[in-house]
This record gives sequence, C-alpha cells and structure tokens, in this order.
Amino acid sequence: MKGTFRSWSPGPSGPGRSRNRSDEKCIPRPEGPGLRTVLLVLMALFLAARTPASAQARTGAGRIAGHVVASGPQPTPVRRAIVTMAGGAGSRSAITDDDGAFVFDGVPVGRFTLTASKPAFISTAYGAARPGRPGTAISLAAGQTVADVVITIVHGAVITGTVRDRNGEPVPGARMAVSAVDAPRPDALARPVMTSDVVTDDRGVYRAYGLAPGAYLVAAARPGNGIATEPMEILSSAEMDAAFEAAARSAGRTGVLAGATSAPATARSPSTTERRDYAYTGIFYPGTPDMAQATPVTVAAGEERAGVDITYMPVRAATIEGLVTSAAGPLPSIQVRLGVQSGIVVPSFVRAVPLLTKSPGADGRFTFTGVVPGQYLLTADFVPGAARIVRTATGVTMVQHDPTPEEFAARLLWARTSLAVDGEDISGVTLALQPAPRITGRIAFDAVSATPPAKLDGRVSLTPLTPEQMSVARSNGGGGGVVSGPATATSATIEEDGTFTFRGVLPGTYVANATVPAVAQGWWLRSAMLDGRDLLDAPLAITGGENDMNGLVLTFTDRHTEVSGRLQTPAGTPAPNYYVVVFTTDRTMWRSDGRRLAFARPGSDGTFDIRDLPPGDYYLAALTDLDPRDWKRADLLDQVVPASLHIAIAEGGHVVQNLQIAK
Amino acid sequence: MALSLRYGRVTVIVVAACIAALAQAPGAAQQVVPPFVPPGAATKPPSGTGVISGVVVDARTGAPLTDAMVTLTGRGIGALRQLSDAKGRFIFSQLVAGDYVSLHAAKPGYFDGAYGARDGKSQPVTLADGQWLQDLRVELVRPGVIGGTVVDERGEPIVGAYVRALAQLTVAGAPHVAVGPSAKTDDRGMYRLAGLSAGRYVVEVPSVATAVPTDTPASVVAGMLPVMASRGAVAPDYRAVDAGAHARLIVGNYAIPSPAGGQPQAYPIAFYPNAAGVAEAAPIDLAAGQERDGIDFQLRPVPTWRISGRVDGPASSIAGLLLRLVPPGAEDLGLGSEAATALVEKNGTFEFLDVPAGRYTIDARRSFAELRYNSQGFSNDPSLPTPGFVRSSGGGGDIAAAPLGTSYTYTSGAGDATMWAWQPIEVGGADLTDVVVTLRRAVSMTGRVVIEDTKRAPTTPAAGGLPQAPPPFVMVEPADGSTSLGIHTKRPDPTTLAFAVDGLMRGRYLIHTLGSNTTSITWNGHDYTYTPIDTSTGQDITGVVITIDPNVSPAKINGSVANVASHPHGAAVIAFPAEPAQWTNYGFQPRRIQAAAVTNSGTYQLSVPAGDYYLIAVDGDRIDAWQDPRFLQAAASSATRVSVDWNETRSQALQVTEVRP
Repeated sequence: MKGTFRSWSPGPSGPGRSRNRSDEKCIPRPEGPGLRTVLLVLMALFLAARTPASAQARTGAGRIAGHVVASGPQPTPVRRAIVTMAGGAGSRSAITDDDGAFVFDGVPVGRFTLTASKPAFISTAYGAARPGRPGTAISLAAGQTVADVVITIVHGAVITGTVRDRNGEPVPGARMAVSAVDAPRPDALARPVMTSDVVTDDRGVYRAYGLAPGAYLVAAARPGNGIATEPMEILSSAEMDAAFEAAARSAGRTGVLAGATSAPATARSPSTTERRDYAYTGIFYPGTPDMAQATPVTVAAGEERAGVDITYMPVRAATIEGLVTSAAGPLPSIQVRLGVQSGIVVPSFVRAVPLLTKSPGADGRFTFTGVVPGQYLLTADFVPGAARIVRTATGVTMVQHDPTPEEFAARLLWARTSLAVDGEDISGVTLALQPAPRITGRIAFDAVSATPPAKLDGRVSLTPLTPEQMSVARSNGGGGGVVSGPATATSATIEEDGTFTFRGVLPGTYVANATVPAVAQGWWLRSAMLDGRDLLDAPLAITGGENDMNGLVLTFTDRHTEVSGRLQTPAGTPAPNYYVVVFTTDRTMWRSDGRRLAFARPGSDGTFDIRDLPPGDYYLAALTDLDPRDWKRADLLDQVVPASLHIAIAEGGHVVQNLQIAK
Repeated sequence: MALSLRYGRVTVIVVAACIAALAQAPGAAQQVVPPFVPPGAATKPPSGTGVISGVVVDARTGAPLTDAMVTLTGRGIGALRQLSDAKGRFIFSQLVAGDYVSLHAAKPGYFDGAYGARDGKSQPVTLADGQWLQDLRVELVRPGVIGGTVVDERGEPIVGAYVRALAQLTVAGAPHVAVGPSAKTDDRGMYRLAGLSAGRYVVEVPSVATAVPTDTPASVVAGMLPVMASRGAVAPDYRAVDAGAHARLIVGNYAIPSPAGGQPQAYPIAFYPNAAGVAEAAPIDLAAGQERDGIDFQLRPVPTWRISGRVDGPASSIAGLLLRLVPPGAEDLGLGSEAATALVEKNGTFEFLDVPAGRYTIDARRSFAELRYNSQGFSNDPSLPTPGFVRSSGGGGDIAAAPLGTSYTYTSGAGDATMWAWQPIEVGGADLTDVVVTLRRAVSMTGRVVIEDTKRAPTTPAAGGLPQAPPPFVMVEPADGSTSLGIHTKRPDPTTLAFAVDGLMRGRYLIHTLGSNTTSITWNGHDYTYTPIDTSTGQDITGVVITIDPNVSPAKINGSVANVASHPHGAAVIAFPAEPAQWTNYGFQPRRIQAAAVTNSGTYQLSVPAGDYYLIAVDGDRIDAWQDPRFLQAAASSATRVSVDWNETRSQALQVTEVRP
C-alpha cells in the first residue's frame, strides 16, 4: 500500500501542482477503485478477557532478535542500523551486525515496539505499513524468545540543487530550510512541520537527504543568521553612472580629492530622490519570498530530485510607521511586535517569527524598517512588570524581576492588526491598547485510592488552535516576562496550593492543558471546567472585550477507564496488522484536537488496550490503515460508523471487547 | 533560560540572571564587523555634500564583484548599505562631513573585507564638506575548501559523520591548535569543509564513545539544567546500547561498528591520512581560496576496552562530573575531542566504554575552553555533541593576538568547580578496573576592585558610595594562550567589589578587566598589570587589588606618517611596550600592543595605557606582524620611543620602515 488517501501523492504533474488537489477529499470507501484504507466488518467475540499482562509478574529473561533489511525487489541486510526497543522501563538500542542482525537479551515480560534507523534511511517501526505509521508491539511472555523480527526500512529521498544569485553566481553558505508540508487542507496547514537544516557548499550546492516521501517547501536564506532586515540601496548600473557623473560635476574631476573649502554644488544622486530599500529574506523555491507563492517539491520514496535550484536575491523592503495609543496615557515598556502571519511554520532563519520587536518612543510612535513582502500580524502589548532592556550611557542593562503585587494585579493591555506588506511603505498604523481578560483557576483532584500531592507545581497552558495568535499572558513567576510570539501557548504557573492566574488572554480559540510533574504518575486530566463547560471538549473562544473569568477548575482523577480486547483474523489467529479505533458518538467532538478519539495498534498477540478515555458512548472499529496525524475527521469517521460496534464507557469502567474480522 | 548578551566583541552568557548588566565595551574593534547600529538608523537620509565611492574586487584576480553588500559606518552618523553594481562599484552621495570609521563589504562565498586592509582592520577615512573620496578599493578574499569522502572498512559511505579541521597557528606568541569548521558527510559519505582561511590544517573524523550510568535521566543526557527539568521541560529520549556492567553507550552521534565475536569495537579518532593523533597527521597547507579535494578517510574498527573505577573526592565535587578521556595532542581542545567520556555516578564510580588501545589523560574538570579559527557562516557551530554535559555558563570572544578569525570559547558545567584531576592512563589488551582518579583542589584567586577616583576621595563600600557603573568583568586567562588552563570571567560583587575566581589550573595567567581605565593590578606587593601570575605552586592567590580610575582614559598617540603613498596597501602604526618581557605572555588581548591603519590623509591614532612604548610605521600588509615576537625584537632598534601618561594626547610623526625579523 503506497501512499495514503491524504498524502500528496507524487503524481505526474510533480512540482508546481496546485494546493487544491482534487484527491484531497478522496476518502476511503469500502468498495470501489483506489481504495487504500479498508474498513473491517467486525464480529464481537464474547470470550473470557485475558488477564492483562501488567498483572503478571515481570519475570523471566526473554529475547527479541531479528534483522533489519532495506526494502526493494531484493531485500538487503542493513549494517550498522540502530534498533531501539521501547517499552517497559525506558528504551534500549542495539546495532545491527554485517548481516543486519540484532538481538536484545534479558528482555522482561511486556509489550515492546522496535524501531530501526540509519542515517539516510527513514526510521520505521516493526510492523508499520510504512514510515510514520505506528508499529506492532511485540508481546513477550516470561522467558519467551521472538527471533524472527524483520524490520524493513526504506532509503530516504534526496532533494538537491544550486542556489545562485541574480547574476547566476553560486551562493555558498546559504542556509536551506527543507520543510515537510502536511496535508494541503487549510486546517492541516496549522500543524508544525518537520524541517532539516542544510547549508550550501562552496559551489552553492545543497543536498537534503533521508527525506520521507511527501511534499516539501524548499527555501534558501542568507548565510549566517539568514535575514538582513537592515535596508540597503540597490542602484542599477545606469543609476550608478548618473551618481558618478553628478559627483564629478559637483566635486570637479580632480581625480583624488576635491577641495573642501568652497561651497560645492549639491551632489544629488538619483538614489536620493527615489530611495528604495531592499533586504534579504528567505527565498522559497522556485523564487519567491512569499510562502503562499512557493511551489512544494514532491518526492517519492527513495527518489533523488535534482535541479531544485533557487535564485537568491534581495527583495523590496518597506518601512512601517505607526502609533500605540492607550487610554491610560503613556506607558513604559510597551512592546510592538511584527510577526509573520502564516499557518506554515518554517525555521526562523527563513522567516523570523516574531520578526521584529520594538519599544515605541515616549510618544507611542514606532518604526519598522526593512520589512519584506508578506502577510504580517502587528501587535502591541503592555505587561506590567515585564523584563526590559534599558540602554544607558554606560551600557545595557536587562532589568527583570518578579512583578510586584500591584504590577501583577494590573491589567495586561494588547492591540493587534493584520498588515499586508508588498514593498510599499505604510504609515499611520494605529494600535489602540485594550485590556485582555484575566483567567484564574485551580487544580482539583477526584481521588479514589491515590493521595493527591500536598504541594503542586507545573503549568497550565492554553494552546491556540490556530497559529496566528499572539499570546500576551505568561507565567506569573519569573517576572511575567517576555511575551511570546505567534503560534505559541499561553501558560500560567501553578502555585503550591494549586491556584493559577493567566494575566491576560488575547482573542483566539484555545485548548487547555496542564503539566504537573507532581501528579504525573497514576493521574490523568479528567476535565477543565469553566462556567459549566469542559474546555477539554469545547475550546475556549476569546473574542476580546470579555470580563475576567474566575473558577477554571482542572480536575485530575485516578479513576482510570480502559478499553481492551483482542483482534483476531477470521481463522482465529492474532491480527496485529490493523488499527483499532475508538471514537465518541458525538459528532461535534470529531475535531483534530478532540480527546475522545483514540486508536491503537494491536500487539503481536492481537491484544489492544486504550486507557483513560472520558466516560461516554463510543464507536469501536478496525481499519487496515490510518494516518495518525490526520484521522480525526468527520468525512472519514462517517464512513467508519456503519462498520463499528457501539460501546459505552462508564466512570472508571473497563470495557473488554474481543473482535474477529468477518470472513 | 540562558541569556546571551552580545556586546562589543565579547559574548557573555549568563544563566538564570536576575539583573545582568554589562557596563563597558572592550577595547578597539579588531574584526571586520561594523559597529552596532540600532536598526532603523540606516534609513535616516544623509544630508551633506560629501561623496564616497569605490569598487569591490576579488583580492586575487582583481575582478569586480557584483552584489557585495557595502556598509559605510560613520561615527555618530550610522550605517549606510548599498549593493555593488555589475562593475563592482558603489557610491554614497550626500554624506555629511565627519569620520567614517569603517567601509566594509560582504558577499556570500567570500570573507568579509574592508577598505585599505587585507587583514581585518578598516582604514578610517575623514570626509570634508563637498569632498569626493573616490576609487576606494575593497578587496575580498575567497575562502579555501577541503573536501573528501569517509567510508567504512567495506568501502560503504559513512553517512552523517563529523569531519573537522584543526588549524595550527600562533596565539599569544606560541604555537597552538584551534578548532576550525566542521561538516557532516552526506548520504554519499562526502563532505566539504568550506570557509577556510589560508593556513595550516589537520583534518580529523572525531569519535567520542559516550558512556552514561544505566539509570541516567534523559534530561541529563540532553544536557538540561535541573531547573529546566523541574519546570517540566521534556528531554528527548536518547538511544543507548547496554554495553557495560552499569553503563550504557550512547549511539547515534558518531559512527560505531557492531561487536566482533563478542568484543566491542570502535572507529577510533582518525586524522588524515589514517593517523591516530594530531602529531602523526599530515598537515595541509591551504593557500587563500585553494580547494583541496580527495582528503579521504577509510575508517577501520579496532577492538576496545573498558576503564572503570572511582573518583576520589568530596561528594559535592563528584555529583554530575563528566570525565573526559583525552588523547595526546588534544589537551587544548574542548568538548568533542575526547576518545571517550563517562559520567560519574553519585557514589563516585565511573566506567568508560569502547576505548581503543592507547595513552590518554583522564580530564576531570567542570570547565573547558578551546581556541577556534574562523568559520564565517560557512558551517554550523563547530561544537560536537557531548551528551551528559550539563552546561551552566559559557562565553567567548575574539583574540587579538592571533590571526584574524581566531577566537576562544569556554564552557562551564554545573557543579563545584574547585576540584579537578588530570591523570595519565594507558589502555590496551585488557579492561582496566579499580582505577582511582583523585581530585585535588584547584587554585582560587580572590581580590577586589578599588575605584580610585582621583577627583574625589577614594570611593569604598565602607564609605557608602557606589560607582555609577557596575564594575567591569575580571578576566583571568592563560598568558601564553594555552586553553587547557581555562578561561575565567567573573563580575565583581556590585556592592563590595570583591571577586573570586575558582578552578584555576597550574600555570601562568594574565589578569585583566573589560575596561580601559584599569590603572594597576597588584598582589603581594608586586605589579601584575601586564605580567602573568604563576599558580604553579598550587597556593591560592588572595588579595589581588585591581585599581580603576574612572577619570583616566588611555593616552592618545597620533600624528602623520610620511611616504605612505609608495605603499599600495597603505601603512599601519604599531605601538608596543618598551619592556621586552611584555613581548610575549600577554594573553589574548595585549593592551599594551596596539596597531592601527593609517588613514587616507596619512594620519594615525592609537590609544594605549600609560607607559613607555616603541612606535613603528610599517607597510599596511604587516599590521599583524607584532603577533610574532621576533618582529618586535627586530623592530625595537628602528622604532621611536615615547613615554605617555593617562589622559595625555601625544603627537608623533613617523615614516614607514621596513623591518626584517
């Protein structure tokens, strides 16, 4: 099974394909050509549930051994591959010998996943249909030997080309960003992407290897830190000639130095009358500074794509002037930030995100120079007590302190606006600061047997669902410090007593989460209730102008739920090469961030186990293939429902459901 | 989080700083970097009547270079930037009169260059109203390249292997090895080390067998500070082979062969051509812009051994200590140059894995420094991965007393830096067990800064007065450039002005401050302002007094230089101390040796601390000739001797003299 129903398949049209692919809505159908994911008709088996492995004594020294081979017509052993075995207590690795063989001895009872990797190959898990898919766990009994594990890895693809300047000369040392583009659907663009960092050599040649099949944005950036945002002048040769002639006229053709005593005629070069600024920024293949205009390069497994050449050139740069206003009058340490507004996350050396930060003057005025074309988000914020850098006559001082109670109680102010920059200067941008709502809350526990920790720590975070949000609110410890840029979460420190405060949350749609080291073991986050709504199921939408919100309660519980069972073939043998999916019957929660959707790969013995789904009604189904990054979609799940079983998970309940694939 | 403040030419990384302040920039800039100009200043349109124009050319061929970014920086004027045109030309019009301190050009594929200099220093120009300075020539030098292939014993390419150039050069008047650029082999096993300055190099394929105790948390392997780990930062899981009784071998960073017949193997560090050490390596003399291909390696596995034992010392010194197994010749090199590393367990036991036979030094320290030589953006950070090293602070700066592009970096690990060991060991034929590494106490230096305000009464903490500016950093650095002694930077307590520097090795150190108004450094009744302190006895150094007078500034020596016109590369003036003892062992930044390019109008200006000096004008090409002590020896006889005091301005006419050491 090559490709998936959602990948950018390497079609004949190759690079230059439109993003609006026709097959992006190609969804699995149980019948019909082009079928790639097969729904399985399941029969429920009412067999005695097997004792969970965790209940057995973890004794016995088992062995897992096998080979790593490279895929191809004639599988060849892969020497010096690193095989990593995860499961149980931590992970272990082994190196394959000259025959591609590896062995793990002294393996305890448990379920283990094995992944093979080697530079220039794509890491692949044992039992995975292809790279990127989860593997099949090997269930090992006490003293058991599993000696026939074969892990197939594939050679990665290569993208190579030359970066040249506008005169055709090679650009050595250019930093290349090769960024995997996820699915072409707009909401999928919001995902961060994988990148690899490559530099052109002295001949301007770059070579990105070990790439998984798929689509990539390729960009070249200036050597060093990538971006030169300081503006510069570019004169054509004719303009340069004119400037030299003007200088000669005014200063005289003395050849060396003209006298400085006589008042000369004004030396005026053409450049001074129509001054244009240019700057260096990342240039995307085939030659644009605008990510939206970039052409993805699609590579098949193991393909070497040469000739992905980029012409690197400076681009027109604009100056943006504006004013920050505040009802409270002039404020110290306002930060104005110009960030690229985009769903695609690329390395900052290609696109600085946040690009530029400024403190406006006492009159609230600010100027950004050297702004290259693109779509930007301009924000201003005022965080009372924030760290700031003070320049004095004698040097630079970074002043950072924990906010005083007064500062902590003061309102955070924010303003933002979108700006489309096309090389022309923009002036008169006004940012009117307004308060951001404060959200306070606490951590709670719903304990059955475990004892909640006496002292708490960690952070609560609000993660934006779309990346173009700027976050103002930050920790209340460590100074309420530096304000984050786009596409990052807002977080608040949990005090020892479990309370936390978001000092201000900007408009946006957020998902709540908490990282609490003290309650990591044995607990799970059951709910995040605010005004009767569970933010874990329904994201928090802030539109601006809200009042402060108090009483966000995040509850951890030790009441665990579990869905487990065994998947069998029609012949009654274990069926490990499938996916078991469990998803809520409530269609409104079929979102990419939904937590009531889970899948598992059955182990080598066919058993599967999904823990800590919130209580409720669910569908249970099995699929032949599933893209873990992109399966929580209504269009897909609607197809799965008819072939599903209906199960109900009770509070703290354990559902045991064995399955057999129908003949 | 680490906060990196780059100011002037010294980078100081302060970890977990609450209030960090850098008060003073170090002395004169030596690198071709335009002064810091706040962004935005460039768009302020100039409104004068002067013109500066010129051309950017390839230094070797003389061919004009297109699209070089030319930056003209004026004192109090800001920076102007322009791209050179198809004929390599640039012209800045409507300039206000004044001092233009730097005219430099940058183009990918070339080293940065400056007007009137081949070796770094831009010749300053003075522009009058209505003046047209034309035909200013900026020459750019092409970097050299070393390339080749790395294959294993079967001839299969080794993918992702580090290849590193080490430069052999003179620092602080003594021969040293500096870490040059590194590259990684691609999927065909090929590498290219680009961006090399002319010089003498050896090329190596590093190989570090990194061992950590079996139960080492991933956060430690990832080098995370405990404070970050406790805040819930998640470290990436690491890949490791269970190789020892209580230790695991981290895999994935360096090529590792599989065991042969149960015996673990390693690819030892390889120097071109298949040499085991720096001393046996064949140096490659690279001319400017030269390309050397075919520097190929074939790595061959060798049997390896384990070294296990314990570290003897106070518990606080053992916790988190990283032991480095350093091969001969690599003592002055930093992290990534080891044959093996081992993380010491809480109970003091350690185990090195996969050690090839040979002689080594077990280096038990918390702080490492190394020299680096020029990479100018052609490669990534040459730091090699060192799992298990938890870095807490570090920094570095450019070295004036070395070829342009030489710098130093230092890195300190978390934990007690006052105990150390340097223990030779030989392994081969069998595992070594029960090795005891005994820590001994490092030398510490304590002292205080005295602000001696000659206009007011001396300000002391007891008097309740505080200086306006925070006291400058105190630096204690190896007098002859040997980085194995470590480089130590401390900021005195802002209230008491006391400072304490721990972890000094045994050797000769020079003390100086990042400030230009240090009038004396004394200890034990002797003057160490420009003389190294010797720590060979192992005795602590207490009561160092650094005297700063905020009212003094260095003496200015200026004047005109005759017969400049007959020198195509202009002229330079070098000031050096009259005391021959100060012609060597002056550390990285000799304050009493200064060199400046002569301006277009035939004048020069130098700033030096008070004292007796020799002055000599030489061809512009020889502006760095003072780095060779033999030059100073030869120049003294034909130089002009002057004596200057603080705050003094002295005029001295010179003429260009040829010096033959």
